Amino acid sequence: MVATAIFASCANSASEEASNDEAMNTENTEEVTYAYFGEEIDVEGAVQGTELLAMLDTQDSVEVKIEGTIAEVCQKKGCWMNVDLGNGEEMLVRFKDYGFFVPMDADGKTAVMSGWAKVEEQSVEWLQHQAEDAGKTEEEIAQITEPEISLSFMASGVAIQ
Amino acid sequence: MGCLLGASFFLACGQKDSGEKSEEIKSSKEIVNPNGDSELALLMRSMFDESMAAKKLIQEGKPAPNFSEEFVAIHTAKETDPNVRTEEFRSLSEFFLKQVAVLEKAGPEERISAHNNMVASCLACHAEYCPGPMLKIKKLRIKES
Repeated sequence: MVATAIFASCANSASEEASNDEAMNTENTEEVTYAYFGEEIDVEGAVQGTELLAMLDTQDSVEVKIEGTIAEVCQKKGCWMNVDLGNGEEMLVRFKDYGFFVPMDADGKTAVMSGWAKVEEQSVEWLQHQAEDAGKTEEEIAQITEPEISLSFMASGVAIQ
Repeated sequence: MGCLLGASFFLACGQKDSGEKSEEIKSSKEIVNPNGDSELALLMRSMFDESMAAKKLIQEGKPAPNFSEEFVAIHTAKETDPNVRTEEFRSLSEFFLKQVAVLEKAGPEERISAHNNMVASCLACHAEYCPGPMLKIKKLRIKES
């Protein structure tokens, strides 16, 4: 189910082709490759974070494919991540049915996610749990005493560059 | 506490089981955590699959299977986060196993409530130790008429 399809290294048999056409090869090296988690998704046509926020101006939730930079990943097992929406806001991304996970060292990478976005309240219990998974100190965790209204995303598939 | 839960013991059990039974758990066996799965994580996933299979049996008016021998590994399976091995976790695990035993012995009239009690015991522990898979676990509930 978790198709960890790593497309990157079709390039590992590059020996002959590499010498064929140097100019063409230079262009090919810029090809973006993805590792897929959950459902394998088509990365084309993803919207940016700011576009998503505009979509949610008129509806409570939206099924969408979005691109963003991974800001933080659960450091216990990779079971959630925060994605930078490019406007100073971050979005919590969880994975459908707890059915797949992402690499814990994926922060800083660009990701495309397919699923449902919605604005919802995050409970104090969840926020404390998330802080603990993120490696926050007990003092920092204890300071979380109020629920938060924030954007969250339930992803059915994630592609990471 | 850590994100330990969400798991199942089919790494070990899967080697013993084959044929039809493995078909039922195939989806979970295929789940791979790129960061590595702990024994407890795998066990939890297997428990979910077994419980989903039990739900279907009960809905068909059949008794739940006997699975407590496998589930008792919850006390010994290596966890993702060692901090989870508290006295409270042990008590919650023990309570869960008792609910499983009640379900196994339940007659036709009590099966649905016994199953839902078992699911509730899963949720109680996850609420404390790892809320991540709670939405998924809630899908195990059987609507009581």
